[in-house]
Amino acid sequence: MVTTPGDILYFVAQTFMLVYAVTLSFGYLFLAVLSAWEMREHIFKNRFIDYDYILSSPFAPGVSLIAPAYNEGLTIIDNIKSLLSIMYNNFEVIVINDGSKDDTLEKMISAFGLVRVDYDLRNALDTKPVRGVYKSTNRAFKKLIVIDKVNGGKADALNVGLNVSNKELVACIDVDCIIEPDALLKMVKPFLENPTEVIASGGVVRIANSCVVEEGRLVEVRLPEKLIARFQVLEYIRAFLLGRMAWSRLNGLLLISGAFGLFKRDIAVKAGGYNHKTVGEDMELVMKMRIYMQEQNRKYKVAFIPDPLCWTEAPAHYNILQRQRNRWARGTYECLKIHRKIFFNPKYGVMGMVSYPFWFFFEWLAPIIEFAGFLLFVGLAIVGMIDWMFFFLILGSGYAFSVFISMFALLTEEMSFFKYTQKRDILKMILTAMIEPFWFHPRVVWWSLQGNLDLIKGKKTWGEMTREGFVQYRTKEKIVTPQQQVA
Amino acid sequence: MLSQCIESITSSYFGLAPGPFLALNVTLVFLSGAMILIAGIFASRILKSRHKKLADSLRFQYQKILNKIVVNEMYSEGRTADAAFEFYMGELRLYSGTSSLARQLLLSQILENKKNLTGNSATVLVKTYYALSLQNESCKKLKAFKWQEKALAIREFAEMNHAQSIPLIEHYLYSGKQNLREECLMALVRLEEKPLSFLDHYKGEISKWMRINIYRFLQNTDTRRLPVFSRYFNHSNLSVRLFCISMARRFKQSSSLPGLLDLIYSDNAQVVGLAVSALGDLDAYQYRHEIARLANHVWRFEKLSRKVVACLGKIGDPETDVGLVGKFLGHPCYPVRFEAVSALKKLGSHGEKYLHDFNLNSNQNIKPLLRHFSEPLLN
Repeated sequence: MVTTPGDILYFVAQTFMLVYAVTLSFGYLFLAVLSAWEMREHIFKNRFIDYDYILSSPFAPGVSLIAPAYNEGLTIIDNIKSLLSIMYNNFEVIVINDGSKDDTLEKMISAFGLVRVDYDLRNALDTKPVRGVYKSTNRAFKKLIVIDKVNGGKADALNVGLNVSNKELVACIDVDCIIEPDALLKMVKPFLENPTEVIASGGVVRIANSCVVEEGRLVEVRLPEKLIARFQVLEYIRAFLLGRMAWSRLNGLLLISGAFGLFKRDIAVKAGGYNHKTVGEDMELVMKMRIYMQEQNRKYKVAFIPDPLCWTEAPAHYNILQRQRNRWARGTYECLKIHRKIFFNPKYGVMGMVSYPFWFFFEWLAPIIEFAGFLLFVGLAIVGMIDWMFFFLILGSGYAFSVFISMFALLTEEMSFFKYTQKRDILKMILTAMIEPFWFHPRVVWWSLQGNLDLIKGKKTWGEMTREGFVQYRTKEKIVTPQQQVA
Repeated sequence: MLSQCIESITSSYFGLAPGPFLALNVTLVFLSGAMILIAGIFASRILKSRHKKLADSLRFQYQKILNKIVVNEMYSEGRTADAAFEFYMGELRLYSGTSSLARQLLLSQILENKKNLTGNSATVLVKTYYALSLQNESCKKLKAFKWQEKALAIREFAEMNHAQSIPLIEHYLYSGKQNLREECLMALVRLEEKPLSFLDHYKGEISKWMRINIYRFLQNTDTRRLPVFSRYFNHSNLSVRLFCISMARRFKQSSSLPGLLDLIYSDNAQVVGLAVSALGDLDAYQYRHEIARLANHVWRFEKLSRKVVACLGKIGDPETDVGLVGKFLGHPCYPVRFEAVSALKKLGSHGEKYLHDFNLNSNQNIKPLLRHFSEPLLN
């Protein structure tokens, strides 16, 4: 029987937590089932497709690969060579040296025989000044354009790329990612087949730690040796295979990973390009493009390809991962704040009524509520109001749900792309899924909270992201680690 | 009433209140679900590996025999051609047996081989398909419930030139499943005696993807068998019209020129743009006056302006059209101005002179554009 204000507060807090957790769980379950169904359809559809037809066709749209580079001197040459050897016909590679302090530009100039050219830059988007445009005198690299500009951040560099591009589509990529050779062919396909205008398409990003890389190409997929990277493998599989696929089906996808996304250039420019005031510029661009289309009353679609198209090196240390997650939390909030006008606004369709509220309540707010729940638990434990039996059962159900969703993701991966073929890999992943809720998830919650706190403090920086380099490079017969390479 | 009932059940069976009882049930359901999924992961792996082993061994056997069939190995053993072929058919029948998986693998293997072969080698594979009565398998699949099976059957019929199946295939031309529609469209393109004759009454969409597929097939077709695409320039279906204009352009059908000229007066901007580009690509010098007249009406439309200017750059008269193209140097859209400079450069010395004079006399700064065009590495 509710009697005192304390009791009322207790009841409200408890009920709210329960309702929130149940809604969140049902939300994820729904997305997971929808994703699995959609992926099954995608795989069936792909059995009939020969992507090589796009490769040789004069009807294939032109694509500009835009790759910003900041202090990438160590790996830039291999990365550019890898981009230049991508399987596509009508494409150009635009590398933007965003005021690097190291020898990135000098290395490119000497490796590709670059000379400065009088390129007439149209300034459709405002950016920091461009110091020079370079082209190669070697015809083998005629598809390469290098831009040197004053440092302005990733978004600013990408906007320069959008200004320079002359193609119909632009692929914005992280220069240190490994792109699958047929990635562009797969990403371009939705732009060709849909009767509704496709304004952007995104692909699955996978973790490349411990994989064997040879001259900028991924030659053998391996499960990361470090546990921290394995947690991220699981996270990425869950997010990409069980989340984004469903959002794409609902035409409510708000985020295309900044590591690799393909956009219609004219829509991206008309929508205002990348926003350099947020650290979540990738999500902000997609939202902006969608808002532009909605306001123009044009039908559109944001497509998503479940095939693993891009491989990236995940942070292998907790302090670096912390910076990344801190930035993601800030980016999410900034994007949601910038476009708050669409919150439950029916004018913006699925995006306004479903995607945005979902992101708000279950992506941005989730760590805050989770932490509040934890504080409530501690408070109740101190005053001795915990029914321990009930507590352990609730904890158990949360844990069981988490493991269930992870297993669902692993099964989906197993039955679709089957990238981790070693027998012990699957055992390792199952074990990872079982310890993740205790070991990894609390940290992610804490880092997200820190991100929100940093927002209040006005932090705007990306935070340094040092990488180890791909763990194994194979040169000729022997496998060489980065440490050996340096030596 | 219900809560009393639940309470009585839970307290009598587990000694738990309804809340903990529910939590226990949720935990058990998800844990069991997780266990089932783990079992599923392992089962999937075992099945996959077994299937792979079986498929690999069958494929290996099939390929050995198919290689012999394709290279006509029969003569080396002193057999007659027919007897040797029959012998190999017997071997294939033996390996494929009555298992639908084995027969499907054989079919896929034949299709895979045929993809990379032409001439007699491809013909003998088609003969193999009929000799083993694999068309019955395809027929069965066409009647299956799943669209994937139907699509596979249609592809098999198309690859094996099974023209008798056209009426069956046509049935799926307007199917709700995009892939099925696409397979059907491609099959009709391949199987019809006169390619693309189905377009006469086609009401569906021809996507850019289908355009790529059809073009790829038509590229390998004898050009004498190609239809005159201008037949379809007034088709009621816009996507058919667009498709045919682009095909006329790609196959350089000069007989389509009068039809293309009519299209520049269309009320659809896409059709006009494509027709103008086609006229430019087909070097339709005789129609430059019409294009020049059109240029006076397209200023408001960026894409169309670009196309008209580009077309005039190709077929325009260097003496009379330079001024007209030059007007577009003052267009508010950068891509149009860019195209105008490019077109003037293509119009030779008259164009160059116009650009030079414009640069000197106009307030508008086109120097960066001129420098861009004089840069050899950028052009």
